[in-house]
Amino acid sequence: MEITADEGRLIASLFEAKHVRPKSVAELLLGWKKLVGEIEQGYRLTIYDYTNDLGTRDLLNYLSRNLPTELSRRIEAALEDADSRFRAATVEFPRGVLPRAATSDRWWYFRKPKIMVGDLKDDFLPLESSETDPQ
Amino acid sequence: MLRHVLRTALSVAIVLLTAQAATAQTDLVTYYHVDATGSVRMITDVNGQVMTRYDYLPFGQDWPDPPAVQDARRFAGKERDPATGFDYFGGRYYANGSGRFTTVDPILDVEQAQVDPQRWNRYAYVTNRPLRFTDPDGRVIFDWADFRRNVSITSNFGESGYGYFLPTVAAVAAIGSVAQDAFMFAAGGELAALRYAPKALPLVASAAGNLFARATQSGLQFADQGRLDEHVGEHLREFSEFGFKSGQDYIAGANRLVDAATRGVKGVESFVRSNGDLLVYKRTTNEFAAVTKLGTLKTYFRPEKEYEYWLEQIK
Repeated sequence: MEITADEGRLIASLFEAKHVRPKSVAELLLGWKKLVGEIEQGYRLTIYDYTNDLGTRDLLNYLSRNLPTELSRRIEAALEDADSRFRAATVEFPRGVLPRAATSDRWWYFRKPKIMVGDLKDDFLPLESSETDPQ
Repeated sequence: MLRHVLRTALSVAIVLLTAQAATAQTDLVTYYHVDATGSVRMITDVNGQVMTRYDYLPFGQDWPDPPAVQDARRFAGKERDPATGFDYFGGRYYANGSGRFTTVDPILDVEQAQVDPQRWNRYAYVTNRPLRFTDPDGRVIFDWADFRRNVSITSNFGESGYGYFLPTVAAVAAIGSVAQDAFMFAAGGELAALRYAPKALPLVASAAGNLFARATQSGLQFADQGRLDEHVGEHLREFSEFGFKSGQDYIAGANRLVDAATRGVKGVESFVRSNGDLLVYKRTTNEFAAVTKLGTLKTYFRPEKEYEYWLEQIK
């Protein structure tokens, strides 16, 4: 996805406002696609790693909501494929994977991987046994 | 010279008090024997002869009568004020006759009180369940039964805002310093002795198992080499600006972060999850670590969303 210099500066300013080290859209997209690929194969790390990796999608969402419409649409378009793969590799999880549920517009926190392996499988056990108890 | 020694089921014997005397030939050593909640039930001499016994009603009142030989350390291992008969819990005095503290609990965890309404009574002693719970310093309820089962501090302890830095026996062993005092005294019984002899911590290792000893000797580690390799492969590059080049650097970094939290270093935040995991975050360097309640490293990385990630984890 091509980003002009002006758009790059705008993106950097948005990260600055969020007090987060600037990242390029390409870097974030790559991170999101990498996570989706790992979920498809079976995500092995902990729920802390998992929720951190989901944060990549948060940052893309943040950019999409705060950038001019045309650029936002390009990001959304670039996300479509990975998002649909993520949906296919996960199932609904109404409780949410964060200690306190994220807002519902961040739907990726309300799904869990179909394939559960490694530490993530163990970390999900208490989540699945309680609808109210945080992680 | 008078020495009091605490002897327990785990055979942890620590000299509690040493009074200086002109000669050492007349040492009189006595032993405290405590029950599961840390209450002194018997004092014996070096020959095992019983010097005095103590029995209590559930809330600590002497039963049937005060013993002939009075010793300061009594119910829940606390010192009993001879003038008032109150037990000194550190943060507050406790009136064993009425089973209530004499002043209000300075800490109220509203979320816990909502699910455990007994906590709304801030004068009550351990939510009126003295046979299972103890109160290490008058500010927090400690589940001794759960501690014995899991060899770890309970979530109650962590969530109270008091024990965030001290989630596990293993972690305390690993740091080998700081607040064993508060931690160990909280446990009552076997571990209470460590309040007076923090450097005797390794003595408890045998009781808590190999994990304890391992943590003491080599710091916090991942559960196995496979997990370490996975985390190093995933996260090592995030620490390039720290100069990390190997798994050893990565492990050392995680240990430094957790150690800083246990020492209460300013700017290093910590939080204990209800599952017992200790979470640590340092905002200035954007480092995050998670440790199980048994002292095993779960992960160590630099969050994508930085401080926002931390806030979401501790909500």
